[in-house]
Amino acid sequence: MRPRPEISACSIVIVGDFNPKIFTPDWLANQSIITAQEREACEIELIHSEVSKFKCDWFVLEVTKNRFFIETLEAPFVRILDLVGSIFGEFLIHTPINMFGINRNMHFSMDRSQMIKIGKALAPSAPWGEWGEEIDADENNGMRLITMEQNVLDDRNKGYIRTTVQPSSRLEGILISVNDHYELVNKETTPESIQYLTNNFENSISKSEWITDQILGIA
Amino acid sequence: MPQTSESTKFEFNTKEDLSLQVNAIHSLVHDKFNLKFDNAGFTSLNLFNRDELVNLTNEPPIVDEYPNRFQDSVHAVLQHINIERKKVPSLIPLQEWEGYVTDIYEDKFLTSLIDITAKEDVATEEAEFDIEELSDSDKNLLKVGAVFRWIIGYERTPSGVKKRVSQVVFRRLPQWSQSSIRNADRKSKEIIKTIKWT
Repeated sequence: MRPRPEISACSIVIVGDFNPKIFTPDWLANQSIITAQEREACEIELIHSEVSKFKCDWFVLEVTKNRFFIETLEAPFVRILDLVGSIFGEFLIHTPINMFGINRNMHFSMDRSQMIKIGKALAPSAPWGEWGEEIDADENNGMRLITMEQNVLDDRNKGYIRTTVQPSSRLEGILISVNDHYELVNKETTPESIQYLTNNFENSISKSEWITDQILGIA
Repeated sequence: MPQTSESTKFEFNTKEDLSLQVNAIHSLVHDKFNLKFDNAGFTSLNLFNRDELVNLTNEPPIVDEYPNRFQDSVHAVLQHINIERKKVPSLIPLQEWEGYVTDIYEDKFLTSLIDITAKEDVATEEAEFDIEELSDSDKNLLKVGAVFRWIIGYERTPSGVKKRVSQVVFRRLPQWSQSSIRNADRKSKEIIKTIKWT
């Protein structure tokens, strides 16, 4: 059985032009994007012309003038896609959208020896010469953070997948972050952009888990 | 916890950047981060460097997406606030199905299921659920034809306690807009025109 994360977050980031003040729990409830019960459970942190940020039962929403961010730690992750689809595919259909990202943050619990094995495989110390030898002398030394990028991808004109591996700060183990980034270069309409996001969402989730499997396979 | 490595200072681009907006963020984070923000005014945002923020937030900042440093700073501060909200349970799926409601009677509803975990794309299973299993907000969404996700997984509390859970969540799929319907209609007509009947 494939290893499961102890903590798993999924987020959608959209870069474009937004009016943060619009994004309130009341507005979402009034448009039936969230239910009245969910609206009651929302905790507003900040609603302002420059930034809106609030937490609802199962998601966090944060909007600045050029960035929309929604995150959940609770499966099914497709719920944030539905929410984004309703907001921009149904209501704010003239919002300029330039790029979007489907992101995962997964914390895996593992013992120190497994972490060292992954660190040494992803960032061998030999190419660092004599300093690498010093690093090898104590297991407290070693890889801190590494990012790998794929920017030639068949499913998009422009974009990349970036995966970062580092020690987790939440538990004894590692954090694997996958940023699946798409740039919109064909001047799509907002509903077309959202459809593009929708078409790629499930595949992106699967791919992030597949990438993670490769890394965890080292240990 | 400053680091000795070289780091990027957050800077504001224009005087306009140092406006009410930042003040609002400051007022929010003021008491949470009094060490850095207490009586510090606008410039205190500049005191944060990227490495410090990484250390404090324990997440890599996703900075490349932001075209100017002001937004970068705002996001960094917002990430900072995220420390508290991350102390929420995480629900990890072990098995996931998409389903739709085929019938509803008294206290139960019948469904057809597609196994998402097995990457199936047609319904191969049926299941019956108690309506009482639904959250109050999802009960309002229950109707024949409604699409939902069923998750079996485990919930991990911030303290690390895990428990097995089964959860049904109805999807809130966006409604088709009139323009989308018109576009679909136009495209279908175009496709019909290209078919060569023999």
